[in-house]
Amino acid sequence: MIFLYSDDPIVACSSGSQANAAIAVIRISGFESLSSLNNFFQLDLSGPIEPRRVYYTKLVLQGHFIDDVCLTYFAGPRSYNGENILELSVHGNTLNIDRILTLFTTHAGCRIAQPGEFTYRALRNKKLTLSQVEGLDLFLNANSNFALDQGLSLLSGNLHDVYQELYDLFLLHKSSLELLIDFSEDIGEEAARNYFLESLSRLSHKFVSLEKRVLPLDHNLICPEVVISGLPNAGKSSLFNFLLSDDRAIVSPVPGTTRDFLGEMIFIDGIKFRLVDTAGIRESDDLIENEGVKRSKKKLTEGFFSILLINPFEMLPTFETFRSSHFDLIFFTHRDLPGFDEAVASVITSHPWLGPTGAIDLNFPPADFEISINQKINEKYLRLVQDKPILLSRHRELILTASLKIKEYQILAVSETDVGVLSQELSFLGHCVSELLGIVSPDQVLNSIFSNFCIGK
Amino acid sequence: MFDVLIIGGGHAGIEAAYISSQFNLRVGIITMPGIGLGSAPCNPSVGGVGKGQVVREIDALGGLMGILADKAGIQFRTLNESKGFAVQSSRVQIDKELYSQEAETLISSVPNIEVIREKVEKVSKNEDGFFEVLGKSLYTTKKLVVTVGTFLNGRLHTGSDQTSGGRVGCDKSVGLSELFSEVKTCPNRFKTGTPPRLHKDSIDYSLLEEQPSDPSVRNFHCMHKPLERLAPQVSCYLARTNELTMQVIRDNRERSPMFNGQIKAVGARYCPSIEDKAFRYPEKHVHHVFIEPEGLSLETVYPSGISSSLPQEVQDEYVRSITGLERAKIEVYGYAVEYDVVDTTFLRMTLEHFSIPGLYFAGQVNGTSGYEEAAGQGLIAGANASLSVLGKEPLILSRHDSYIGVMIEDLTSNTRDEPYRLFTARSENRLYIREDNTILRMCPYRTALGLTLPLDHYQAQFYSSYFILNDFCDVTMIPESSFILREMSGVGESQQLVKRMSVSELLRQAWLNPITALSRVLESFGISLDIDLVRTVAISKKYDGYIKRSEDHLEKVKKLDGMIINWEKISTSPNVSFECRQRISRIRPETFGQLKLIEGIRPATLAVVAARAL
Repeated sequence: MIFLYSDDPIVACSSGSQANAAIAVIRISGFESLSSLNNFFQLDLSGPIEPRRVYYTKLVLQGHFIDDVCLTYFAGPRSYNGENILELSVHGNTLNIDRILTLFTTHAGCRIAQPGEFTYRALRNKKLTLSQVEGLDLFLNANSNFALDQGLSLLSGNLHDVYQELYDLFLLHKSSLELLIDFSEDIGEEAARNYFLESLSRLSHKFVSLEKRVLPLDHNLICPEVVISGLPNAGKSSLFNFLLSDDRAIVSPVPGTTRDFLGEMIFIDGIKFRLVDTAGIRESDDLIENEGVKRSKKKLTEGFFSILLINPFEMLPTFETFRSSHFDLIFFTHRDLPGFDEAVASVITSHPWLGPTGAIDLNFPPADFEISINQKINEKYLRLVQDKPILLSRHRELILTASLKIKEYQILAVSETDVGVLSQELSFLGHCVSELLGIVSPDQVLNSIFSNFCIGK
Repeated sequence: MFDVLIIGGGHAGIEAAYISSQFNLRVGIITMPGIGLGSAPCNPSVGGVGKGQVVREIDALGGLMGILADKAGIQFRTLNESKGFAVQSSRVQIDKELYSQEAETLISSVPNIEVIREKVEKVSKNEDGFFEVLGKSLYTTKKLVVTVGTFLNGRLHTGSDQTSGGRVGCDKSVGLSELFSEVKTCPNRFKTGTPPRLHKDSIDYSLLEEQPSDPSVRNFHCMHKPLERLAPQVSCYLARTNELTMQVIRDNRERSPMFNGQIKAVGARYCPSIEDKAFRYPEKHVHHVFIEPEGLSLETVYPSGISSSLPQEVQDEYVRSITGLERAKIEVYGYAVEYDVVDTTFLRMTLEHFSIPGLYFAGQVNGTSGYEEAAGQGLIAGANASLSVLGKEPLILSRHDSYIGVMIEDLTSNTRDEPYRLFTARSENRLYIREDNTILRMCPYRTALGLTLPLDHYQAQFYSSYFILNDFCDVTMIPESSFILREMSGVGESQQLVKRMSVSELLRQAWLNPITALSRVLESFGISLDIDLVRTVAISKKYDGYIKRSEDHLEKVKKLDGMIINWEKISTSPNVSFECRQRISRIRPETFGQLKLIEGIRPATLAVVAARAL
């Protein structure tokens, strides 16, 4: 999708129109003057209307009363996206919303906004920077408090300022290199060399601090997932239901009951996690089950917190699949069955890579079991977010690429005598840094950003 | 009636005349009486970082500067010698007297150039579309090239003394406004300055650091023997300012025309006067002063780095505070000159004026500094004036393969806030625009001129030999476990190859000097070739990989740079800063790449435009 839209006035329901509610907010943006909408309100819009003040009035069409509304006018350029905006609070019945939207599209020359178009206009009018737009996206779609906070931080421009600092340091270093080439005779070889090294150390220092905010994050923290894995009939769905305190998953003694993974939201100390129950990993002739197994294996690598359950009485060769994954918790289940200790000992002997394990009877779990699991999940989460990791994958990739480049460059800066070559390497680095500031080709970024927006935002 | 008439006999003027004469046209130079052709009123040197490349480009295109610099060269140096081939440049100190004599001799030996030594009183265009230039008599010409340097409303300053003129000891010339009311000049005047000249016997050289001439620097002209010296060689010396020097200047702030408001024009930041250095960097006291001989038989030396417009007694005082210059005798005092410059955004890439066809501008009048920049423009303006007379395709150099191309695109796409000088940093393609491959880069342009002079034969041969040797390097394999001398890292110790590789691949190895390596390989095959050819191929091979990588990497950037933008929309958008809008509407960029080139465009604006938001 490329935003080569016309500048027509646009309209949309900004508060979501999927379900009935008491109030809905409808926004119209980009109209020439208020008087062009005068026919639709009892209030005289061609008279003096004070911006950013709420007026109560009636919405009418050709003399027919449509709805009671509260109306607020934001005059461009001092509005969210720099255009004239009219915001209507209307009654939130979905039929009512549809009727009002149709009124504006058929009688007022508006068209329905494309997803993200309000914000796109804000970007166009320099009301928001690219990273603020990304922040808004993160903020509106956040699944955790941390993502919410980071979205807010991006939105207020904090992270952008960090990038701007980085860019300035890059320019400083770049100019010191040019100084070395074009002016070393004027200022002296040694002085030029010193500028060069000093500015490089400042730049790499900045990179190191930024890289810390990217590195520890090999999980998706925007929507952190707690993944339960194991062979068939290990008790995964029992644990899933137990943690959900709900009979969401079908539990049966028949192995392979869960054929695809299931996901449900849980809250632990106010943080939202997605709990995922996976299909037991086994060889099967069932096409659908095999697909489920494949998808479950993928989940295993994506999870932020992984729990492995082992039924020591039903081991399969496919158990080796788990060897390559990291688990935060490992439990032996079916503790109530006779011969449990011997069975566990035998599994541990033949799989010495397992590390520390626990044991649990999922039919009668101890009282503090849930609390202790939740605590472990929460601890890990807090540990990961304490360095304020950067969540947006576009930023993360750029920072990682740039960090890698600056490390290579630092080595080159001492070993390479050809300054022309050095300067070329530095400009490669420069592209990454300017991409962080949003100086990038449009196809790369905008599509992904704006396609994530709900209509009307 | 002249085909091409040039006003001004400086470095731009003589190049314009010389290249025009090669097309067998009738060419004239009209120049102020009393000034020799190709005179050097500022520092007595030709070349320098980036500028060395320009001199070689001029030479390969059939210009004069390289020939003259070789003949008058009295000290040769390679700058950035230890920093890799791509950024190396040659510079030669010239005997300015000899340089001008050689220019006179060479130009007067060309039968179809007439030199008229008269002051121009009036220029106009008649109803047939020809230009009329009034000196003592009236001259008509089809094309007119204006290379009047700093003489447009020039004003000289030494302390509170002010005189009209473009140079000390010269008559003033008329303002451009009187010549062409339609030609737009920049609202800001430019300023340049020159240091006091010292008597060469009043300096204690034993206290200074000697910089002898380097015999390994290659001559500029491609058909001169590379290492032959055509004039006797002398040394330059390095002196340094100290705290006392700077104190003298700081104590006289109110007497400096630059800082008391007498001069309002803009000087170049990269070429600061000693006053600039004193007041802008108050914590710094030690600055380099290069003592450069002005000529073998001239009595004066040029102390580079201390240009000044302070009153004479202050100049005496600060000069004598410098170690080695305690008894220095000032022969000519330093001065600053303010002058008008043409708004070059009204020029085409041929340097022809948009609104007055047939009128070309070149040199310092276009707001550049430096003899090399002037000469490069002179050649382009002269060649295009001639090609236009003959009805042939114009000569337009690309910024991707020449510094002249970089300069002309920069000039014509941007209004300058300060005198323009070439730096290697202005090029995006520094690894390719080198001194060693100049003929390779320029030969296609020269060939397109359709001339058949000895230079053309030489270049054609060089060009085809290049590709033969290039192919030889690609197909010839060096067996595994051959011994190759490693040289880049100090002592000559042999390194055994661990695998079989082509000569091309060998030359890309970081641990060897590609030139000696290729010479040895050729020796082992019993092949003996022109060393300049071997150099070009060897160094090109070394950079091939880097240049390829750069091209790949820049693919994405190029795509963005090629994006068509709507400058009218951007320049009226209330959300772009006032300053950016002004610059954009003046320059009228059509692509994102051009927008990026505009000075002072903020990243925020670029980001918005890149997002196709405008």
